[in-house]
Amino acid sequence: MSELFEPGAPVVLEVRDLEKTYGGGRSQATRALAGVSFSVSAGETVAIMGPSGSGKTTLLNCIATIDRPTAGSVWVDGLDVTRLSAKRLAEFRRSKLGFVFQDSNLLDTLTCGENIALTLTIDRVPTASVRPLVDDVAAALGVSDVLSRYPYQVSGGQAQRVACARAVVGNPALVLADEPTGSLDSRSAKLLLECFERLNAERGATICMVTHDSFAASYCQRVLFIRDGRLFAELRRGSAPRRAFFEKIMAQVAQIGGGEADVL
Amino acid sequence: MYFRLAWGNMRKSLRDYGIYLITISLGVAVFYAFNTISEQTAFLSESTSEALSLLADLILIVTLLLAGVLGFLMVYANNFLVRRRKREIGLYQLLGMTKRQASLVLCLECGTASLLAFAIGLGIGILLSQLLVFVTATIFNDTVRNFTFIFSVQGLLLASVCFGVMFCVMLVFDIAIVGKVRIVDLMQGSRRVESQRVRPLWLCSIIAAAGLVVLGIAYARLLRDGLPVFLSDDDQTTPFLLTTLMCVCGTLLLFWGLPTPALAIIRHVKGYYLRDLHMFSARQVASRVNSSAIAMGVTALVLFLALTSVTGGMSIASGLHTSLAYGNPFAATVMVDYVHPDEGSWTFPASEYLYSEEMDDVPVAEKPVDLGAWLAGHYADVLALVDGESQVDIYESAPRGFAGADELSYAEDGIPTLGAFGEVSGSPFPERFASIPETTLLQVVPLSHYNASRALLGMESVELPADEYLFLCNLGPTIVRYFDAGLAAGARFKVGGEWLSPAAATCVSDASASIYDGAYGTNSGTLVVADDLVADLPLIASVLELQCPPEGDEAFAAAINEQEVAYYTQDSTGTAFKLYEGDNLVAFVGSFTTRQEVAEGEATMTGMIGYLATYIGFVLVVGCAAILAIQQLSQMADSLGRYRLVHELGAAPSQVNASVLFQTGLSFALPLIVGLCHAVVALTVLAQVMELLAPMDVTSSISLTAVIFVVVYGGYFLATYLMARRLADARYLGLRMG
Repeated sequence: MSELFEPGAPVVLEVRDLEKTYGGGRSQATRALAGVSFSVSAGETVAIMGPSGSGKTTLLNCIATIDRPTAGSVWVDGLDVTRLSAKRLAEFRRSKLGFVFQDSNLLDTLTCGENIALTLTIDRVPTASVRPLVDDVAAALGVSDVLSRYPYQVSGGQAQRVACARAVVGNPALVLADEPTGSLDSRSAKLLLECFERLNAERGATICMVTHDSFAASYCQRVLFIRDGRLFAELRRGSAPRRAFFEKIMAQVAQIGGGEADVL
Repeated sequence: MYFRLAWGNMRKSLRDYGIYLITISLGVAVFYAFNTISEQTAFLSESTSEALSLLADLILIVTLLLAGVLGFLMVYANNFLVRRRKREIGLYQLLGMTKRQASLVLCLECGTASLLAFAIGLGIGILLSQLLVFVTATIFNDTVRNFTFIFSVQGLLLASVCFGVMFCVMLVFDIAIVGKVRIVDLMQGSRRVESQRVRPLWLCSIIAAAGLVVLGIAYARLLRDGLPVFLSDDDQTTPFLLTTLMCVCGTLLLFWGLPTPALAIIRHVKGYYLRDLHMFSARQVASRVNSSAIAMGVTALVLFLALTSVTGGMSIASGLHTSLAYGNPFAATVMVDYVHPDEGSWTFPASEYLYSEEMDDVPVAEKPVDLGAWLAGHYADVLALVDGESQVDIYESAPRGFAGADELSYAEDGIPTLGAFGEVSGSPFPERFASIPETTLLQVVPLSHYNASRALLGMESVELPADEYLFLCNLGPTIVRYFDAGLAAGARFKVGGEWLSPAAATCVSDASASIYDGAYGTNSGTLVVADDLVADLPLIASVLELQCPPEGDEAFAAAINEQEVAYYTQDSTGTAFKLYEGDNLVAFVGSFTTRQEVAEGEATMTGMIGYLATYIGFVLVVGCAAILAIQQLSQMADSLGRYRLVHELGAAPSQVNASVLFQTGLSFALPLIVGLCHAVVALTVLAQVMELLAPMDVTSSISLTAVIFVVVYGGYFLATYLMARRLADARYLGLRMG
C-alpha cells in the first residue's frame, strides 16, 4: 500500500484535542477521551488499537458523527463535523463517510445487491448508473455472485465484503471500520483485509479501522495505540514487509497491555 | 415488589401499550354509553321510550356480539405485545423467578393497565351518555324534558362483564405464553428474527391470481344473483353463502399472495425503486403484509362489514324517509278485504290467504261496502275531526269467473298481469324475483274514485278517454322502470271487454299513487279506467281515505287510540275484525292506519337503524384500526436496528419520515381499499334490493360513514404515524442529531 500513499497528500481527517466525558456529575463523570489529536491523509490506511475501555470506539463514533464530543474538533475533508447542523449531518454521512461494522449490519429485508445500492439511492444517484456502480464494486470485492441473495443466505465473510462494497460504492472521503474482522474466521478475515488493501490500492480509499486484532492492524500503513482516552504510541509500517510489521505491533501490544496482551 | 416491577414495566412500555389502552377505553366508553339507552327513557316522550326499550334489547345483543369481536381483537393485540417481551420474561426467570411469579408480574401489569383504561373509559362513557340523550332526542324527533344526570348500573355491569371476560381470556393467553417457552428461547426472543423464508414467486403469483379470480367470480355472482330476497328459499340462500365464502377466501388468498409479485413488479420500475428509501420501504411493507397476511385479510373483511353496515343502514333509513313523503299522504286509511271463494286461490294480492285458517265464514260482497257510513256508525268522534273522505274500491284485473292462473295469457286475452309489461317491452321482470309469478294480476281502480282521492290531496282531477288507462305504481325505481318500459312500448290491455291504450308513457308515482298509508310506497301496480268498465270485475278491497291538515294529526291519532280497544275486542274469535251487513259477513277489516302512526313507526325504524349503524360501525372500525396500529408499531419496534443503519448510511430525516409515512399509510390503506371494493359491490346489490321498495340514495348517507372513518380510522392512522416517526427518529435511536 505504501506505494500509493505519499506524505504530501491532502489531509482527509484531522482530530484535534478530542475529549468526551460521560455522566453528568463531576465526581461520577467518566472520561472516555482525554484529548486525542492525530490526522489521516488521503489514501492512507490507519488502524486504531487499544484494550477494552480505552476509548477507541468512542473515538470512532465521534468521527462518524454518531456521537458528539465534549470538546475538541474533528475535521473531515475540510469540514468541522462537530459543528454540523442536523440537516447537514445526514448529507455529510452519505457523501463523505462509509461504514463497516463488526457484524456486517446488512438489512435482512434487502438482497445483497440492494444493500449496496441503498447508499446510492439515498444519495439520489441517477437510477441508470446505480446498477453499473454496484456491479463494479461487487466485482472488485468478489461478491458478484451473491448480489441477488439475501444476507442470511451468504457466509459471514461474504456478508462483510458486501458491507465493504456498500461502504465504498459512493466513493466516500473516509471509510470507517469498527472491528471489521471481529466476527470472522481467520480465512474470511484474511480475504476481507485483502479487499481493504485492494480498495486502497485501486480506488485510493482512505480507511480508518478500530480493531483488537494485530493481524488486521498489520494490513494498515500506520497503527495508533490508545489507552485511557489518550494516544499512547504510534507505529509506521514504512517499507517493511507485513510480517515484520505484525511482529512490531505484537511487541507493542504486549508492552501496553501486560495482562491484557492475551486478550488482544 | 412484583407490583412495583409491573408498574415500572407498564410505565416504560406505555408507548407499546398506548394504542391498546386507548382502544380499551374507547370500547368501555361506547359500550357503557350505548347501554344506558333504557335509562334515557325518563327524559323523553312515551312513544320514544317504547322505541328505546325495544332498541335497548337490540343493542344488548349487538353489544355482546361486538364484545366478542373486540375481545378477539384485543386478545390478539395483547398476545402480540407479550410475545415481543419474551426476552424480558426470560430474564426474570434467569434471575430466579418461577414461572408462576413471572406470570404474576405480567398479569399485574396487564391488570393495572386494563383497570386504568377501564376507569378512564367509564369516565368518558358517563360523559358521553349525558350527551347521547340529546342525540337520541334528535334522532327520534323528540325533545328532552327535565334532564338530570344519568348513571346506569346496568350499563356499568354490562361493560364490566364484557371487559372482565376479555381480561380473563387475555390472562389465560399470557400465562400460556410464559408457560410454553423455555428460558433459552426466551432469551433469544429478540435476536431470533422471524425466519425470513422467501416464498417462491411463482407460488405467490398463482395464489394472488387465484385470490383475484375468486374475488372476481364472487363479485360477478353477487351482481348476478343479488342478495337473497326470500330468506326461506334455499335456492337463493345457498348460492349466497357460497358467494360469501368465496369473498372471504379470495380476500385471504389475495393478502397472502400479493406482496411477493407486487414487490417483483416494483423492483422492475427502476426509476422508482432505486430512489431514496423506496427500496427499503417497499421491502418493509412486503414483509409486514407477508407476516400478517391473515390478520390483514380479516381486518379488510371487518372493515367491509363496518362500511356496509353503516352506509347500508343509513341508506335504508334515508330511503324510508324519502318514501314517507309520498307513501303516507292521508290522515288515516281504513282498508277492508273481500274474499272470493271461487277465484280466491289465485288472486295474489287479495287477502284470502291471510285468513285461510279462520275461513269459517265466507263473505259475499256483490257490491262495495259503504265504509263512510260504517265508520259513522262506529267511530263518530273520529269522523268529526276529519275534513274530507273518499272511498276507493279496488278490483281484480281479470274478469269474474276466470278459471285459473294457468289459463291467463296476455297475448290472447289482453289480461293485465305483471308479466304482460315485460312481454310488450321485451325486458322481462327481474329474474331474481321469479318467486313472484308473472301471471300475478294487477289492480284496477275506477277513474271517479281516483279523482276523488286526488281532490282529497288537493290535486286537480284528470280526464281520461274511454279507451285509455292510467297506470299507478309507487314502489321503488326498479319496479317503476319495469312498468315504464311496458307503457312506453304501448302495452294494450282488455279491461271490462274493452281494449285500452296507455294514457301516458310513464307510471304515476306521486302521492296520488298511494291508495293507503304506508312507510314506503305500497302500490305495486294499478290501472285507472273509466268507471263503467269495472262492473264485471271481482272486488278485492275497499279503502276509505280520511284527510285533515297535518296539524290535526295528533288529536286524530288520540281519538283513534281511544277507540282502539273497542276496535280490537268487537270480535275476539278471529285475528281479523269482521264486517257484517245484517247477518251477512261482507268483509274483513285489513288495516286501520293513521299518518301519525306510520310516521312514528318510520322515525323509530330510522332511529334504530341510525343508532345501530353508528354503534356497530364505530366499534368495528376502532377494533380494526387498533390492530393495524399495534402491528405497525410492533414492526417499527422490531426494525429499530434497520432504521439506525439507514440513518448511519446518511439518509436525511425527511427521507426516513417519508418512508415511515409510506409504510404506515399503506398498511392502513391496503385493508381499507380491499374492504371498500367489497363494500361498493355489496352496496350496489343492496341498492338493487332496496330499490324494489323505495329509491335509495347511497351518496347522501355516505357522510356518516365518512365521519366515522375519517375521525376514528384517520385518528388511529395519525397517532400511529406520529408514534412510528418518533421511533424512527435519529435522536430516539441514540444517534447524534445536529
